[in-house]
Amino acid sequence: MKFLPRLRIKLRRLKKLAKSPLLRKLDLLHESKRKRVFQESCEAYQMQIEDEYEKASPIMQKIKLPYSTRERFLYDGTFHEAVGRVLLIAQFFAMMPVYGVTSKRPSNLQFSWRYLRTCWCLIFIASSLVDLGLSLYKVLNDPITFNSIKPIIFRACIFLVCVYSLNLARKWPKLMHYWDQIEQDLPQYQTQTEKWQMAHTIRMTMFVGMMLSFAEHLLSMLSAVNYSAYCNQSSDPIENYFLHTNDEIFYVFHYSNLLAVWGKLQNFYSTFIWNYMDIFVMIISIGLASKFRQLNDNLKKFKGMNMSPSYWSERRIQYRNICMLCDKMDNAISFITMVSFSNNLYFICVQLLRSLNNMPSIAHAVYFYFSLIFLIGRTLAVSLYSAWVHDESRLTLRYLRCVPKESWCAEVKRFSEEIASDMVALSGMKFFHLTRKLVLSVAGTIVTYELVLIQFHEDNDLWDCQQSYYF
Amino acid sequence: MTGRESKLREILHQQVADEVFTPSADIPPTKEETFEFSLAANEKHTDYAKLDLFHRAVYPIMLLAQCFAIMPLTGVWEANPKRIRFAFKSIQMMFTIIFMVFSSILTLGTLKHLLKIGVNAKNFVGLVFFACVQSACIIFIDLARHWPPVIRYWTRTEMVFTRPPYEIPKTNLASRIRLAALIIIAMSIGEHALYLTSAIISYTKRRHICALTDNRTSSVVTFDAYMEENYSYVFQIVPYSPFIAVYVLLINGICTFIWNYMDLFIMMISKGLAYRFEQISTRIRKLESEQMIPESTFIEIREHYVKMCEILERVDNVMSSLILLSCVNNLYFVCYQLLNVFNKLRWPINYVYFWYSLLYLIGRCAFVFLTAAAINDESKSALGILRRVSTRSWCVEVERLIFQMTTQTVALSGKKFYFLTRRLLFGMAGTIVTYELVLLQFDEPNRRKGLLPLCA
Repeated sequence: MKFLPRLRIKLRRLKKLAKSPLLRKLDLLHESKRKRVFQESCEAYQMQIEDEYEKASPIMQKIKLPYSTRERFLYDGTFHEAVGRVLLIAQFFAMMPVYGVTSKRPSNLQFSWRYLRTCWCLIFIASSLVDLGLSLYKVLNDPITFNSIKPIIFRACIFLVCVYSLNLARKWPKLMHYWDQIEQDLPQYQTQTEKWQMAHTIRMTMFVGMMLSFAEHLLSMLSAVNYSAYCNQSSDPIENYFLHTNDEIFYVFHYSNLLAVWGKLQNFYSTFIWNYMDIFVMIISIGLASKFRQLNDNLKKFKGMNMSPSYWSERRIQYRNICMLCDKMDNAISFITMVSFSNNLYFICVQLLRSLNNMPSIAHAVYFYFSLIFLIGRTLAVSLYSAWVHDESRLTLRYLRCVPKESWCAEVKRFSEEIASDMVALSGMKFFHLTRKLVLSVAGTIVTYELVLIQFHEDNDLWDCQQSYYF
Repeated sequence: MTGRESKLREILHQQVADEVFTPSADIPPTKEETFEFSLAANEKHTDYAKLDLFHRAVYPIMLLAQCFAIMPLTGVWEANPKRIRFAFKSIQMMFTIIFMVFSSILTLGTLKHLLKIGVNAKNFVGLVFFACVQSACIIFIDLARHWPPVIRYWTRTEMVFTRPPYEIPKTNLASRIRLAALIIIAMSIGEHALYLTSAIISYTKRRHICALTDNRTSSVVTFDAYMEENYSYVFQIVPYSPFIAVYVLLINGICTFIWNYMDLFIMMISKGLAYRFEQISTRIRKLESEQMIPESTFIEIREHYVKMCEILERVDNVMSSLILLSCVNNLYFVCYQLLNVFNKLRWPINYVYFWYSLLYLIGRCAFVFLTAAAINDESKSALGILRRVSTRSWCVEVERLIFQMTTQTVALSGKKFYFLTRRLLFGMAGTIVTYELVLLQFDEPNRRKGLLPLCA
C-alpha cells in the first residue's frame, strides 16, 4: 500500500475508529503524556541552560576586554604571556633575571650570566648580604629578645628569596616550555572572555598588591619622619630620618649621604621583594588553578551526556598532565612558599603582640594598624589562592559522578579513583599541603601562640629610641 | 477484550477520581501501573500545599522571621515556590532597613561607650553582640536575594521524593521542623524574659539598698530611671524620651531574636536535607530483604543521591557565610560565658539567669551542630546495607554508589574551611576547653577581688 499514500491515510483513520472509545482516550492520554514528558524535559533542559546563563553572565559581564587593537586581541590564553609583564616589573627589582619574558613564545626565554639583569641581581644579592651582616652585628651586641630579631629575620628572608629566585631563573625557560607543551594539549577556550580571565586575575592581583604595598611604604616613611623628629639625634631632620631607619649601617660607619642613599634604596627594594614573594606564589597558584578550570569547564559542557571511552581517556591524560605540571611547579617554588608562610606567621605574631602597647602618636597608630591589616589580608589571600588549586582539582569528581550508566567504562572508573586518592596541591617543601584546612589550623596556631606570648608580655615602652625601627 | 477494557476503565477512573496520589500505600503499585496511569495524576496541577516539601514545612517560621525584619521575601505564604520573589522595593525590605538603621545607632553607642571607658575582654561582649546581629542582617539580605532560585531548584528536585517508592517516615518534615523551632523559640523567649526580670530585680534591690545608706538617691524606681541607667550608652547619642526608650527595648528584643534565628535557620535547612537522605537510606534498607534487585533500582537510587548532593552543594554555597558567622558567634559566646562560671554574683535571681542562659547557649550550639552533622551521618548510614548486597544483585552502580559515599564529604561547610560533622563538634569542644584553661588563668587576679561595692 506504500504507493497509495492518501488511501493509506484514510485506512489508518478507519483503523483508529475501529478501536473502542476507551482505548482511543487512552491513546490520546498516552500522546499527551509523551508530549508532556518531552516538553518537560525540554523545559528542564531550557531551565538548565537558563540557570547556567544566570550563573555565568554576572561573571562574564564584569570582564571587559581591555584592548581593542588586533595584536592584543590575538592573545591565546597562555600563562607565559599573562605573566610576562609581571615578571618584567620584578626584574627591575632584581628578582628572576630571565631574558625574553614579554615575548610571545616561551622558546625566546633565555638565561645567561652575562646579561645586564643578571649582573644587577648579583649586585643586589651582595649588597643585601652586607646589610644582613651589619644587622647581625648590631643585634648580637644588644640583648636578644623576641622583638629585636625582627630585622634579622626580615633581611635573612629577603636574601634567601633573592638567591633562590636566581636559581629559579636558570630553570625558568625549561619550566615555561613544559607548561606551554601541556597547555597546548588542553581543550581550547571557546570565547575571548574566557581566554582573558586568567590574565586579568593575575594582573589585578599584581596591581592591587603593589599599590597597597606602596601605600604601606609611604605611611611607614611618614611615621618614621614623625618619630625621628621625636628622637632627634642630630640637628638635620633628613640625617635624623636616615639614622633612624638604617641604624644598623650607622652603628658601624659614620653618617654620609652616600651610605644613606644606599640604605634607602636597600630598604625600598627589600620591601618590594618582601611583598613580591607572596604575589609570586599567588600568581603561580592562579595559573595552575586556571588550567584545572579549563578542563573542568569542558567537562561541564558534556555533563550527564553519553561520551565515548576515548573522550574519557583523553581527559584523564590531560588531567594527569596538569597534575604533573603542578608537581613540577611545586618542586620549583616550594622553598619560596615555605619562606613566605614562615615569614608571615612570625610577623603576624610579633605585630599582634606589639598592638597591645600604647602607640606614641596618631600617625604611628594609623600606620601600625594599616600594616597589620595589610599583613593579615595578604597572608589570607596567599593561603586562599593556593588552596584554590586543590579545590579546583577536586571539582572534577563532581562531573564524573553524573556519568550515566551506559557510558560508564574502565576509563571513567580509573579517572575518578585517581582524583579521589590523589593529593594535588602546592606545598611548603612537602611539609604541609596548602589547602583550606591549613588556613584554619594556622589561624588556630596563631591564636594559641598569642595567648601564651601575652603572658610573657611586659608593658614596657617598646617604642623607645634605641629600638631598631623596622615598621 | 471487554474484560480487559473494563479493568482498564476501572483503573483510569480511580486515578482520575483521586485528588492526590497517596504516597504511603500498603502495597506499592507495580511498575506497569505507575508508568501508564500516573499520567492521570500529571493532568492535575501539582498541589504544593499538600505535599511533604521543605518549602511548605518552613514557611510559617520564615513568615515569623519577616515580622522581625529578617529575610525580606515576598510571597512566602504561597503554596507554589514560583511565587517567592525578592525585591528591593517591598514592605519587608523597608522594614529591614529601618531596623538596621536603629540597630546601628545602638552599635555606635556601644562603640563610643567602649572607647571612652577602655576595652577589655569583659565589656567587649556587647559590641560583639551588636556587630554579629548587624552582620547577620546583611548576610540574611544577601541570602534572601539568592533564595528564590535555590528554593525553586530544591522543590523541583525533591518532588521525586514525594512519590513512591519513597515513604514518609513516622514524623514528617513539617512536624519535625516546627517542633524543633517551637522549642528553640520558647526557650529563647524564656531566656529574654529571665534577662529582663533579673535586670529589673537587681536594679530595684540596688535602689532600695542604696537609698537606705545614702540619702541622696531616692528609692523610687521609675521606668525612665531604669532605662537611663541600663542603656546609658544609647542616651549619650540620642536624647532621652519614653518613646525612644520603648524603641530601644523593641530593638533589643529583635536583636535577640535575630541572634537566635541564625542558629534556627541552619537547623531548619539541616533537617530538610537530612530528611531526604534518610528517605534514600530507608529505601536502600528495604532492599535488604529482597532476593534479586534489578540494576535499574540502583541506577535510580544513585541518580537521586547525586541530585541530593547537588542540592546540598547549591544550598551550601548560599549558606556558607551564615554558617561561618554562626560558628564564630557561638564559639565566642560560649567561651565568654564559661569565663564567668566562677564569678560571685549578688542575688539568687542572677545565678538563675546566668545558669539558664549558659545551659541554653551550650544546648542550642550542640543541638544545631548535631542536626547539621546528621546530614553527614544519614548520607553514610546505608553503606552497611550496600556492602552486604548479594553477588547476584551486584552491579557497577552499587560500586559507584559505595565509592561516592565513601570518598565524598556530604556535609554543610563554613566556606569550605571546615565541614559540619560530628568530628568537628568534638574538636571544637576540645578547643574551647583549651582556651578556657588559658583564659581562666588570666582572669584569676580579677576574680580574687570578689564583688564590687554596690553603691558607686
